Amino acid sequence: MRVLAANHSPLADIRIEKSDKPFEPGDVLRGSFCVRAEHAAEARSAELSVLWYTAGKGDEDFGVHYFQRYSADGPEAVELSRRREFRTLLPASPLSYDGFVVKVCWCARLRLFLPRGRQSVIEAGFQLGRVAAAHEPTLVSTEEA
Amino acid sequence: MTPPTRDSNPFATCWTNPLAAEWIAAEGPELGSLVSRLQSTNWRGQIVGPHGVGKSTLLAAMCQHIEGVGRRWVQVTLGSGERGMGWHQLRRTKLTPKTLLVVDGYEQLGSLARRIVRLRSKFSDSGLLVTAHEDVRLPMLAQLVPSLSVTKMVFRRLTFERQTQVTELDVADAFNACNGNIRETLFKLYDLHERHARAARNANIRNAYTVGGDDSPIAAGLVRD
Amino acid sequence: MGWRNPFFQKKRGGRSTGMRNLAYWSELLLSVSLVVVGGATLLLHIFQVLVPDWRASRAPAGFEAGICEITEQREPRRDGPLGVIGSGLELQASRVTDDGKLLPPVWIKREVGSFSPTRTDVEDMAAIYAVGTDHACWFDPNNSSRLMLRRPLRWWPWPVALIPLSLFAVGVWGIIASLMQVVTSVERRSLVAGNARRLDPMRESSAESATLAEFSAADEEHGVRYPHRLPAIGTAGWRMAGLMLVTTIWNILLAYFVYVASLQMLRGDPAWLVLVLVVMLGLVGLWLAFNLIREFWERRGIGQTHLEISEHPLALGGQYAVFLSQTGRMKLRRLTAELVCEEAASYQQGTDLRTSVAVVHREELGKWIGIRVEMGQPFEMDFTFTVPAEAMHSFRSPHNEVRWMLVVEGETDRGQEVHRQYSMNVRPAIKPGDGQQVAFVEPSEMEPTA
Repeated sequence: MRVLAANHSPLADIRIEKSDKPFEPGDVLRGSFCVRAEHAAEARSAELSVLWYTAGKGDEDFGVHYFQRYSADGPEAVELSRRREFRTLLPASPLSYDGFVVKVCWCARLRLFLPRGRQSVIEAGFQLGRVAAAHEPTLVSTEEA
Repeated sequence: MTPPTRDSNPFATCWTNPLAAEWIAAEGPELGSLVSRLQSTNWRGQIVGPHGVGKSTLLAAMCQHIEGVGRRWVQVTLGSGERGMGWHQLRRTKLTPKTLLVVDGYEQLGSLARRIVRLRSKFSDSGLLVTAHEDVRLPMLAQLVPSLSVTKMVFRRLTFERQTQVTELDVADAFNACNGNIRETLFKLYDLHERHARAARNANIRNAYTVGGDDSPIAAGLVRD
Repeated sequence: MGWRNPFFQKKRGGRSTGMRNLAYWSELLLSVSLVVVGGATLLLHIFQVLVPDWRASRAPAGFEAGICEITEQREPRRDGPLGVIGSGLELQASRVTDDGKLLPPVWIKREVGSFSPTRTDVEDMAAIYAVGTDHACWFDPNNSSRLMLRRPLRWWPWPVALIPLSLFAVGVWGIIASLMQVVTSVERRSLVAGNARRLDPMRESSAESATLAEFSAADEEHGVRYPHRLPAIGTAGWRMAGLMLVTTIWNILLAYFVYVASLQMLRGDPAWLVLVLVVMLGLVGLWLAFNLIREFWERRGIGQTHLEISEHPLALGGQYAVFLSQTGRMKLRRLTAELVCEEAASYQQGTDLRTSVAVVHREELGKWIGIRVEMGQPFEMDFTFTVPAEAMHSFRSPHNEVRWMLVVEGETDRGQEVHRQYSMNVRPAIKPGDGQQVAFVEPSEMEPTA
């Protein structure tokens, strides 16, 4: 599944307020998203998550902090083209970390469910905490398990 | 301060793992013709090549095409250190005439276990597609050999949307240092990218100190990037 | 159980190299020899010890309790299953009736003692059941020729049977594993969890467990100087204890076979099967003993290293006092304590499962030169350190980890190396307002976009 950065998607838009600066644990993360009007009829449902994931040399791990599902059908149908705001209190950990072989990344992720089982994922990253990037390591070793 | 993301390093595992990487058929047969050949051999075949040459990537790409022609496939990966698990899966996998059993790392099985897998697949009339380091006496679909030009194409694809200071010269050096193992080459490039990124960051901080003066926020350590 | 003969298969970088075929056949040979040795010993134990004991102790159904008098003894000799001549004791006894008469005597063969390669057992038994002495017995009221002497059940032959049984089981497992080339894996649980997550249709809603590395209560120990004693990673003591146990059991088994073989040699009737077993067991026993001695030699005089810390878990930016204590009897050329942070990432690429480790922080906290450690006079030192405020906290997820540790390294004047690691849990710094319960805030709806 190809993941698009927030500003690259023709399908939807996702924004995080004041994401140019790091957030602190306990801060309120505010953001909003909407499916672009010309694609709104195509999207059957959408899932909005605030989550951390790992990147780097290891297999990806992730943890979901906030999750909300919106459906264009059914009794609780919503209009996906309306801009919707989401807010959540950020947790104490894990903090964002730019390590050498392990990176911990935070993002708000929008997953759109499209006809014929297709999905589209759009992410907007942000920084939690002010952990400095790791120095160049004194030793890098690899072993087979 | 730029938050770390999966785009921070174009050679991160999320981009280079067989499911994410695209198969490049620069010097080999196209995926479509490989699937046709597999069909013509009654869905039995092998992909052979040394470590890290791209067998698993080709397999993942082929499986997508196989789905396209309406064949159901079940994959079992026999990695070093988890053969017990793989063997357990192999034994439990239900095989039918419409199934294609895909075994990644077939050479991990002993000769007796291989025989059992072949017999099971034969009696159930299911297909069998495997990757191995050497000929395991199944119809040969593709024999992969390490190629610098393919590695450079992989490099270009990975760095098309993600910036790096790693150059094609570095790719050639890493390829030679890793004896043609493309996977090892990509790991070497990962390390190299991280080192370049840190060197550039340190240079920026040093420049900021020089330009900003003692009372600038950069000099005070408030801005790292 | 991860078979792979370390002599023939080595790890070079990320790959196993070496003579795979030789490793395979050496494993198979070892497994077959274990099956042979374990099976032979087990059979011997069952038919020579357990079965006679069981028969002797079995409740005699239909028999009645009575008294009998020993009237005669004899000592037959016969060949054992390994060609060893064994001695036994047979007794003739007469039952004493209620009115004090002696019934015709009968020979009791099996219920007294098993055939044994040593006569001492026979002599001891003969002394107990001396001619003319009275003993409790069991008799068949319908058949006066069926008479049994009661004997208490020995308990120890039953657990002893576990030794040859385990050798046999390990050998059988080894043969199966060699033939099938399958091994169990410590990664199995992780992979199952990973697959389950990948298959989960509600993937993003399945919350992951907390990622701050935790230590179980079992890891926590109270110190003497400071409240917390840090747990050591990978203590070599357990390895040595395990090696010692295996060497002891193996060599007891060897001693038994040497004893049997020696008896036969002295009688001028060597049992070749026993000799072959002795040679096979002896080679393995020597190898085990050599490794044990080498391990002892490498560690002689080096005692334990204890680290106690003023607070645990630690916080980023926090300052902590540490008490280091090194026991033993040695002279250390140098001893250093370092604060280390390393990242570890494991990944499956194709059919390989690898772990990459990068040391991203290493800071020397203390260095001491020319230290003499005597019994009862450990080297003790206090020092302090600060966890870098902008560093990453301890983090652990299924495939990725950031770990902090204190590393103590040293070298004795005999060239022995001391290398011990102590894990620590470093948490993010607590700021005012932190610690409040994380709550989900209901989203609100805004105007449609243009």
